[in-house]
Amino acid sequence: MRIPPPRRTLPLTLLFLVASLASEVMAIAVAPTAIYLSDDRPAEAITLYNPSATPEEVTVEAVFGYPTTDEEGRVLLHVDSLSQDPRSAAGWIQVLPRRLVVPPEQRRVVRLLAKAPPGTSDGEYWARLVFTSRGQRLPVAGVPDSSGVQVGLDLEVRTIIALSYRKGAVRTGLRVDDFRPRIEGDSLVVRPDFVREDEGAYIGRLEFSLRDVNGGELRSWTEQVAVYREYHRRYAYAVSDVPTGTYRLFMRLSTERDDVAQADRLPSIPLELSEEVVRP
Amino acid sequence: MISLGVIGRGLVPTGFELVGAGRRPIEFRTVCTLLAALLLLLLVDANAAAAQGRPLRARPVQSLNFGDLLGGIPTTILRTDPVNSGQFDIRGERLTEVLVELLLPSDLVGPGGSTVPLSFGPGTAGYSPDGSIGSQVAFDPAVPQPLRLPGNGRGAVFLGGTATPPGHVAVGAYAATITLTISYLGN
Repeated sequence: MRIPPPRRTLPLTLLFLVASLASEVMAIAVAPTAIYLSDDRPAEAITLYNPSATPEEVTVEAVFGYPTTDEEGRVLLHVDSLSQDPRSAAGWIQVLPRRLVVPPEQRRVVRLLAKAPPGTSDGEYWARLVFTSRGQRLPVAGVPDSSGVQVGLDLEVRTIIALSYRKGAVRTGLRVDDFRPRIEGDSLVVRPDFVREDEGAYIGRLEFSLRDVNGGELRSWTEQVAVYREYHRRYAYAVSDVPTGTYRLFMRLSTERDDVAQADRLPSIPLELSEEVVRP
Repeated sequence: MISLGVIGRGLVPTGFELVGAGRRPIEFRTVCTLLAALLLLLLVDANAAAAQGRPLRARPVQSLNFGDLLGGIPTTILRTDPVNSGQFDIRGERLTEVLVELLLPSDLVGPGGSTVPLSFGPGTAGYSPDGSIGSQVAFDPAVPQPLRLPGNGRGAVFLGGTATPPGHVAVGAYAATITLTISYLGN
């Protein structure tokens, strides 16, 4: 039986769609996005994928680092390649290989092995893996002129992922020292003061819900939080469309994160707080 | 995983018996079933990837281009310049925050170590959640910037700047490297 031509177009279209999705050209991709090692599972593999048409030279480095906030409530990544911090795992994470070339449309595996020094106390230790990708030399537009000054700027990409090493039983918790939402102009501003408790970083989800006096939700926002030590971030949300009046802002914190595998999540009891907010 | 290929006049799963003389051609229903299975596998893969978070990627699209410089005459490229601004595409998990940090050179280095100073003011970088050059929100490239990826997980960073060649600049090719560092903020 021959396949009628009109019906044959559908699977072909689907096939070409799948092919085009798979061949999108981007720079190096690093998976997974976070690494969790432990004394039971000290080794892990990271896959690098180069979907581009040119080879990518990649170097891999382990440094100490974690996200934190500055005095203005801005978030930043504290990175220190020479850190002597007792929480640093950077010095004893072996990366093999540290330098490699990923051919076009190919995958390569980088292996990690944690070798905690003898006598390392139970707890959680942190590092960041820095993948520096070079290879996409971009042509600079313009007319070459041997009598003038030509300028070429290369663009380089570094991708950083988190690494945690857990030794022994590790728990996490969070203390909220301050939670005073207020209205500034047309924005609802919240600067909760988070302090990690227990040994493990608090990798969690932060949910805000603005409700009226009857409990009806007007707006809601969800954020990811990573509290390694202290975290005092300023969140600002536009509420220009919210009428004047008195409201209540509910804040809920939990470690229920869809993007973290169940086995890697540190369970914790969700925290729930609320404060009154007046929009003048 | 089963791979499909177009062989001869029929769409067949590679490694299977093919359409040919004396052989029964593959049924259209079978093709559809296999394609459905392939799509299902892709969806399962995507769900598994989502559980670990979608890999974060940045791709340099276009270099910041000052063109040919003349001694003593500064050249400024706006981040909204579609032809000459530096551009990076960023992709990652939808609706998550990404920290973007730009490491910017202070000089272009040319023949014999001669230099051309570069400067990047507080508003010379921009982020566009829809990737369009016309919908940028300006930011200071000297300060690490948290950016929220939109519903499709794609955004773009644009960069402008100023090159100020000295009056008696040595003729030749000048180069420098701009480094964009990206990381998820949530872990």
